[in-house]
Amino acid sequence: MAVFEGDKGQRQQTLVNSTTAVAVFLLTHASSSSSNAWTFKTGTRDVTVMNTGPNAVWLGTSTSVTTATGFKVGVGEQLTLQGVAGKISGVTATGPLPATVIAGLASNAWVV
Amino acid sequence: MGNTPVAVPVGPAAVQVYTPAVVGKPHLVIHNSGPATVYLGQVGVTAATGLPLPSKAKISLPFANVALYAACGGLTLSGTVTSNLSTAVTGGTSTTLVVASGTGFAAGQVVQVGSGGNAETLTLLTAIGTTLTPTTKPAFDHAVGEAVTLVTGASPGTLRVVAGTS
Repeated sequence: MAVFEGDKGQRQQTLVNSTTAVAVFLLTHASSSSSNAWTFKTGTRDVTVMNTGPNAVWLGTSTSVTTATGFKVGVGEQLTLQGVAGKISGVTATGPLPATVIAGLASNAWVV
Repeated sequence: MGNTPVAVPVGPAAVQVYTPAVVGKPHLVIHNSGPATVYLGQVGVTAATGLPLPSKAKISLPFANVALYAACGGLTLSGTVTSNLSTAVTGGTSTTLVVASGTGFAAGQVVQVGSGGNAETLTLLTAIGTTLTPTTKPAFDHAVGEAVTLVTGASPGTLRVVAGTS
């Protein structure tokens, strides 16, 4: 029985508009009602993340991510994470300077 | 150009793993070939603030125009070897950490300074009395009273970095 909330190519869009971290995507092994969650049983997945702007975004592993230490993704830039699990959070610079981040599954998010 | 993988050891103190090329459109692939998760970010990145790259995972950046730093996870803060700053630290400028008590600190150890988003880990070059001298300048400002704590139990990792231009 497949348990899944996402096929390869499925995307979700997140408005990051604060220096308080918000989830950009969540790969969870348990059923979750959290926003931006893809649910599956076990293992890791591949995810592509793109910042469609209009400002930079900083990504990190937890709510402690900051613009000073996080992983910077400039406007129009993208990255692909292969073999990841868990939650990735994002923040923007003070202002706040909002940005839209699109996370897309680059691999199927289910395990039979 | 420059597509040969480079193995970069990563410890608890943030280390620079990538410098973008000056000419052309730089691209980058980083593979975590070690046994533990490594965290990517900017100078001063820690396991609490960086982007996690699990063991065997890979990150690809078609356009990588900023320097990248990495630190390993698995850090444990010593419950006994800890003190507090008695002099404020200025990021990028200060060369020493002056603490209330230097007991238990020694050259070669890794310490965490501060907590939360501005926490950073530094390797000690020397520890003489209450003056701790790290191998690199702190990246962030730290106020008097912020904790300086010995880091133990880190899980060092290795990244394979492939950088090029197009």
